[in-house]
Amino acid sequence: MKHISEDKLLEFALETCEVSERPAIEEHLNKCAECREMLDRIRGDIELIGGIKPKTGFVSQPIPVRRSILPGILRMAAVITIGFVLGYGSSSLTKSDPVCVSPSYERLSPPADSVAGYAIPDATDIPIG
Amino acid sequence: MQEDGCETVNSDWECFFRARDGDSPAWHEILERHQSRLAALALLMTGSAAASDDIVQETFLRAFKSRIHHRQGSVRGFLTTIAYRLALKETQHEKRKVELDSGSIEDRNCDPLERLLSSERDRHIAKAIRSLDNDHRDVLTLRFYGDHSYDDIAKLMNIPIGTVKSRMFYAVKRCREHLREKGIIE
Repeated sequence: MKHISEDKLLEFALETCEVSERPAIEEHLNKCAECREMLDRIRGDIELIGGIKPKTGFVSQPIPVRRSILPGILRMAAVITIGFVLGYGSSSLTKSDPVCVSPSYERLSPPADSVAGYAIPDATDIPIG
Repeated sequence: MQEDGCETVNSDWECFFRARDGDSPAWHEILERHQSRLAALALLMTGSAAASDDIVQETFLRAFKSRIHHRQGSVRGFLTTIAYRLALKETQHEKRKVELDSGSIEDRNCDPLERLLSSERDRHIAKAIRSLDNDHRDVLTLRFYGDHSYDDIAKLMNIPIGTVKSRMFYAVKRCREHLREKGIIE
């Protein structure tokens, strides 16, 4: 009887072989004690390789985060209040200069000829009645 | 399993959510179930005992800070994916990396695995896995210590499933050869 190679049995144990190959391997294993023994040994090795157990150190439990919208609302209200007070305070303490609005439109250059036909000659000239 | 832990909850996710909410017995249950595997995965990937401890702590911190409410997949898969990514980041940055191959394994005073692996057999196995190149080692650790399916590993590493399987085969084959040379296995 021709035995299954060790590599093929390893593939079988790791489930990395083709699905189509499995029935033939299983059929052989049912009849061959030597290959079954080899497969058991391979499975034992796999268990060893995948089973190292390191000593575990202390791991502290992460503190649960309680999420509430109330602190957020209070924080936002505080920011708005402080902003308002500071803004009002600074505006009442600083002396504001009088605002002078110069009639700068008098110094505007006349529109180009191409648009003059569509422009109003004097914006202040509003016919009444 | 602890009396007041998750025995009555019969769900890993339920236990996870209870631990996240501060339930101490549930937390101990989660640790008992997953800490050792996470530590092994981090140790094998980084080769550093200090980094391994940090990665385990950071994994739980990130997992608990996440806002997940679903119960899809397994808690182990969720935790080991976080640990894998943290370990990957660690190896890329090469922080606190300890070369395990320096010094003989018999020289226990110099062996960085001494702290975490009490059994000499486990140290030989860790050395065999660490002797693989990163691609093969990652596949092996994700499969054995992360309990990920080949399909999951393919998605996680963004490689074809055929590549995952061939790397897995080669990784285990190489480890067995290494362990046979050391007389650990027949």
